Amino acid sequence: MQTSSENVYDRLIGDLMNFVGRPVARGIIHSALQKSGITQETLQQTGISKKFINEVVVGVKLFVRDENDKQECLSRLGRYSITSAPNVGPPPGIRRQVPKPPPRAQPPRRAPMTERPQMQQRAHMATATTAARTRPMTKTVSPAAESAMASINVEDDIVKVRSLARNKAVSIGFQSTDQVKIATAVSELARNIFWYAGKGKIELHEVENPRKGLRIVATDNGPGIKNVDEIMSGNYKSKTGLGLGIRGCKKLMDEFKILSSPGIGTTITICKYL
Amino acid sequence: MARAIPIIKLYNKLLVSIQLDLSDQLVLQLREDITKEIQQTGATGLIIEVSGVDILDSYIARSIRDIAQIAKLMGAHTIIAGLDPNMAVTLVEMGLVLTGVSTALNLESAIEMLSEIQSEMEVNVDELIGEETPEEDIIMELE
Repeated sequence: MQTSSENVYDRLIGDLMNFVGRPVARGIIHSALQKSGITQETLQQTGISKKFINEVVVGVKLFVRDENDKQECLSRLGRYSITSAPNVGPPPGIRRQVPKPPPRAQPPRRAPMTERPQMQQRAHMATATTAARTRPMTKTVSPAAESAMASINVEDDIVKVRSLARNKAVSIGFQSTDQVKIATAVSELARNIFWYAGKGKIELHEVENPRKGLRIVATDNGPGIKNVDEIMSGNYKSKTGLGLGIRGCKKLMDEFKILSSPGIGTTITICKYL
Repeated sequence: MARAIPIIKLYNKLLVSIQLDLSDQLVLQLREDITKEIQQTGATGLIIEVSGVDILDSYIARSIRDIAQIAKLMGAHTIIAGLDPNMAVTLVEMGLVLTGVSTALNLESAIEMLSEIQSEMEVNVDELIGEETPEEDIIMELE
C-alpha cells in the first residue's frame, strides 16, 4: 500500500512533468480520475487502481510524442504499486454504481484531444442520470473491482491488510466467525512475508466458482521454505514459529495450496467459501 | 515515562489491558515492563485483558503465553480475560493451546479467580514461616 506520507497525486504529476508540461500533466491525471470515477481524495486513500493507471497510460500515449520519452514514462508508471481496492466510501449496496461509462459515451481510444472534454462531460452526466438503469448492467463489473491487493513492506502493513481482508469478508457476506478466521489467516501470511521475506504482496479475490467465497494469494520472493512437507505435517518445530502460522492457516481455511522453494520464493493460495 | 500499554496495580495484582495492535517491539516492551512491575510491586497475580485486541494470531498468542510463563517464573499467576468468542473458536481450530495460562470470561471473573489462587499461594507460605518462627520460644524462656 502507498505510505500515507506520500501524496500519490503529487508523485504522479511530478513524474509526468518530466515529459510534458504541468497543464498537460494535470489534464492527463484529472481525465484519468474522471474516467475511472474517483476523486483525488479517493486516490490518496485507496491507492492506484488498474483502471486509473490505464487511463493515465492512454493520456501519456497521446501527449508524449517522442518514442523514447514515451517508453520511459510508461515504465515509470509501471513501477507504481496497484492497490485496486473497491471504493472505500459507499457501502456494498451502492458500490456497484461505480461508473463503468455507458457504451455510447465511452471515448474511442484514438479520439483527438479536442473531443475528449466533451466526451467526458457526457459520460459524467450520463452516469448520473442513468445510474438506476445502468445498475443491472454493472453486474458484469470488471474483475478489478472485485479484487484488492496490498503490498507488505513494513510491519504496519500487516494490520492494514488484515483490516482489508476483514472488510472484504464482510462485503462478501461471511459470518462474524468466518470473518475472524479469514482475518487471522491473512495475518499469519502477512506476518510470515514480513518476517521471512521482508516484502511481498497479498491479493484478495472475490470468487464465484465453485461457490461464492474469497480467495487469498500471498506471494513473496523471499528465501523460500526448504522442507515444506515436513513443516506442514507438524513434525518440524521451528524456533521462530514458522509452520505454526501456516499450519493454523490451513486448518482455518477450506482450501490451502503452497508453492515454495529456496531461491524462488513462496506463494500461498487459500480459499474460504460462504 | 508514558507506556504504550499501561500496567495498573490493583492490590496484589497487575492489570494489563491491551488496546493496540501488538508489534514485535511492543511485545518486547510489554514483557520488560511487566517483569519490572512484578519485581517492584511483588504482585503475585497478572491479568491480561484482551477484549481490545483486534485479531489474535499465532504470534500474539505465543507472545502472551511467553509473558505468562515469564510471570510464573517470577512468582505471579497469569489469567487472560476478555477473549472474544470468535477468537476462542479460531484459536482452538488453529490448534493453538495456551499451555500454563488460565483464562476467565471477563475482568470480574479474572479478579475473583486470581484472588482465590493468590490466597492459596499465600496460605502455603504462611504455614511454612509459622513453623520456623523462634520468637515464641524465646519469650517463654525469658519469662
